Amino acid sequence: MIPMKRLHLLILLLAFALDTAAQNGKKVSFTVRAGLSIGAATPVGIPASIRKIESYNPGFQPGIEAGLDYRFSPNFGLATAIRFEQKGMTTDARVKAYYTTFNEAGSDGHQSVTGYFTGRVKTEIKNSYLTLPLHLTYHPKSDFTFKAGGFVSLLLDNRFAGDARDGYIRNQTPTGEREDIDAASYDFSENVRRINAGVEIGADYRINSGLFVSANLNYALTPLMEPGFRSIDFGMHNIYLNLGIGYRFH
Amino acid sequence: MKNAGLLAFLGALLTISGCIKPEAENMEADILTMTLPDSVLISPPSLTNTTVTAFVNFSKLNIKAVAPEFTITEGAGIQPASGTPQDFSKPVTYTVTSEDGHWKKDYRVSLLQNVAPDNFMFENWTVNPDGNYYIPYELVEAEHQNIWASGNSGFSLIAPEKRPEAYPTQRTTDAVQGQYAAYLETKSTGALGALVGMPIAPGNLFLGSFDGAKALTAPLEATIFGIPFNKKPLRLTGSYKYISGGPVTDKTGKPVTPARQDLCDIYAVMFRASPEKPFLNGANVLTDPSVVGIAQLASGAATPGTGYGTFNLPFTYKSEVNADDLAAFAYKIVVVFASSRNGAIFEGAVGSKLYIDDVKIVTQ
Repeated sequence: MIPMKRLHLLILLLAFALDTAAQNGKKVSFTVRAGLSIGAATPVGIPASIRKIESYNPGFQPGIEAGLDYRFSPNFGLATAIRFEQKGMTTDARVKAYYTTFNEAGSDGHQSVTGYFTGRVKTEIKNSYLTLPLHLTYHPKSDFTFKAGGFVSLLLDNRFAGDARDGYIRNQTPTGEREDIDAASYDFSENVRRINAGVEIGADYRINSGLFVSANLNYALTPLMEPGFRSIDFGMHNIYLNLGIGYRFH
Repeated sequence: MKNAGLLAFLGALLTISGCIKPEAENMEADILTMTLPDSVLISPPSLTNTTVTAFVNFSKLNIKAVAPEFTITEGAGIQPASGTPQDFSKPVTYTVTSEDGHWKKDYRVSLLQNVAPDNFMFENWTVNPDGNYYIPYELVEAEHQNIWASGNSGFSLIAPEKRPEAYPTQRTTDAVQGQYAAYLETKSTGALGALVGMPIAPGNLFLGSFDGAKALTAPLEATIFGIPFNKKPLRLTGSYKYISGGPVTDKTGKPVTPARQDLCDIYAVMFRASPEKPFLNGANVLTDPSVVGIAQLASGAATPGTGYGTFNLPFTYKSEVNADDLAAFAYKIVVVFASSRNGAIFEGAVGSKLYIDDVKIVTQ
């Protein structure tokens, strides 16, 4: 698995950073940070089957991290961290001919109805990840620090579920048997990918020698759902903005 | 900084997700209505996902050149065109093509010019292509009449298996006469059925049609009862065999209290149809004011031994049947068989089996 290789590489780099830190104590600093994320798991290009987003609620998505910064030149450095974070949202959308599966629990094909749904779909996503970011940092002669890099996340807790209401489904194909739906639930939690990885950019702003505020924008290059997941016919990617406050130990 | 971040975030979201796209062209291809001059129809057409059936008064039209008009899904096309004369001495296949051009659906449109038969041998069966289940049909003067319906299309959606033999309503070679008899068995609908409060599906067979769209939301209204009938029925007779599946469970799947054994149901209802209420359904078939006569099996308990028994049920009339209106097809009849008496409200016992053969409506 490619993500595992990437994870190994990151761990190697982290070990390297720590080793170097031991040798050059002054260039290394530790940080702690807490923040909230706002964002979505969204398709690349909203598919035509989604007609209207009736509501969107980012929910409460906290994250905390312990970081390690290493400055290898006056203006540049590397930063990594161990981050526990939650990524989620709740949306309510009006859909037309939206391909999906209603199931009892999991998406065992034997106990489900698959087809084209027209009506309203509520989606609730709440996934917890243990994340390892790795950033190249740029330190201009100001109170700002800019960061760019990537992250690898390991799924700790997963929820991707919701219901469909006030509509009808066409069994299997758009010309299949029509069935009115008052309310039907689905749960694709078991189909959320264990590994999530992508790119991240961010900036810190120093308030004083210890305190700083930060903003991070991350976009997952790996799809949210497992390969082979077909119960929703478009891929979704995590995109989240994290705003937080941190403290740097020198 | 936070503002800049937010702006960057919104910019990224817009770039990645874009806006709501223009509405895609329709993919559905349905016949929504079929209209013929009022004087021609003796009952409103029955529409399913792939069939349209209507009883017509053959004395008032030339069956070789009937031009029904159709309304279809917005933007879709239909061949042959709506309003063009067709020879309906046999069913005519119409093809509806969706607005986006990618989906096609064939409809078998039948105009029935013969009155439905009054005896039913259950010899002719066809497999419905939509759900892969058996349904009997009648042959009257070589006219193929799709007048029987069952809940099989509802079962097809949530059932784990889609073999004809896995459905609640099917045929059997254990027959009293001829090759086949109707075979109705109360089945479990599996985990998904239980989830929607429909843990069982009784075998049922009735004269009328099944509105599959309502199967999950209003199951009692999904069974649309009645076909035009122009004779006054006196008795409903036939052969049957019933094996009870045991103690009745309710719609949550738990045994009912006090415990009772599952029963079958066999009945016929004559009713006076009106333009406002052309059909009855599972909710009102025995109680509606339009009902004029009922013949119903009293107990519905298991039949003794392993062979068939017979039933001979007299019609009890609540009101007079007007002979002129009868001749003008103002009345309809429904015959209903069910392997669980309260199956319509999802009470019954999995494994209840009802065999039906050689049924006759004895008329005056």
